[in-house]
Amino acid sequence: MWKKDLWSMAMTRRNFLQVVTGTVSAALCGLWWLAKKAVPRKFIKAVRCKNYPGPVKALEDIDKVGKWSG
Amino acid sequence: MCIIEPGQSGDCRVRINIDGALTTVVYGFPCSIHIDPVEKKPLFHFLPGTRILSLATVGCNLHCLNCQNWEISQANPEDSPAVACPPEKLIELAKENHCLSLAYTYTDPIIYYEYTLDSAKLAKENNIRNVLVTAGYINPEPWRQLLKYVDAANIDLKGMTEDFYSQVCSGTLKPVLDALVLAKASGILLEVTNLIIPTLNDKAQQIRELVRWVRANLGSETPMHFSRFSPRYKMRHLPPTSAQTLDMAREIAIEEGLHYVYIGNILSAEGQNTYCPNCHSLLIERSSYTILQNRIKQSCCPDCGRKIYGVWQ
Repeated sequence: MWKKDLWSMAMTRRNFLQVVTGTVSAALCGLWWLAKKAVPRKFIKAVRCKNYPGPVKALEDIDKVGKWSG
Repeated sequence: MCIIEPGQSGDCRVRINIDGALTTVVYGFPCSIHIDPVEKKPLFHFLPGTRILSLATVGCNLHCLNCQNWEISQANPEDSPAVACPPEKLIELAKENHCLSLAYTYTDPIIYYEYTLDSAKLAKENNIRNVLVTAGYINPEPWRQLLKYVDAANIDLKGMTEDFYSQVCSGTLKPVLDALVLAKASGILLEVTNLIIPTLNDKAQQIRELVRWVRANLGSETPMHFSRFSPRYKMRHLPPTSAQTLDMAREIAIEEGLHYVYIGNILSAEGQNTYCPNCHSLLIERSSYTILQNRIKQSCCPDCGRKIYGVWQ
């Protein structure tokens, strides 16, 4: 009787493979998520436009404190 | 993030989609170049008393209703005169005028990112230091790249709620907090500014929450500036911040454990000076942007020998 119960609790090969597959998949998903976080996202630098769209003025006296904040 | 349709400019007004290519129209065209005292940025722990070549182009990625520089930050490049000044010329100007550093300021260096990055690289090669004065509204990767060439920054932390950022600045809080943490982790000299606006972010609890975040995430050595609001742009209906409110903010920050707390845009005796956090002796005495005395010796307090956070030489 005791031996029979123990036998019914034992893991079958199919169950074992299911557990292993599930654990490995979960670990891989976690690693993928971490890698996505860790690897920098690409960003695009803007290209420069040679001509300024507004009026271009000569450099004035720079040796005075700016009127703007900061 | 804004999606720019062909032929249109982005939210910042200075990046345009030209035939599918993201194009910056302000690279090498600052609308303002001046030599300022470094204290004006404000930076109180970075080469005190030195001159800093300061520049900005038009445009901004935030649209703060209280913007002090809205005439340039919210301007279209088509309407704003600019000077042709490529990075090489900036370095030349800094050397000619004996400036130890360059400040990318007035509007936001993030908006003229490529110009800032190239100028900062060239400045480094020429032993000129780089300072950013920014709202820190940027994605982590471009921020990391730029920080490699930066020596010091003053970053605005305008409030501590998403509501404040969305309603007052047309932005969000999270990227700013991330940028602050990244800047500190990168090892640059970091100072933080909070503009106190009556009725919007001037409650003791709001200030306490902000300084607690600064202390927990940036450390108690981080210099903190509380600035006085002046009615400008779309917030002319609010009064200027009272001296009492600024003093209260300073007291709260000190109470919460910040070591260097300053008051700006208003004359204040104690609120402009640097004191030793250990023995409380006066280290740097300032009056407006002028250094009256600087007692710091080899980055330390001359009385007790405590190391003082900053770049002093």
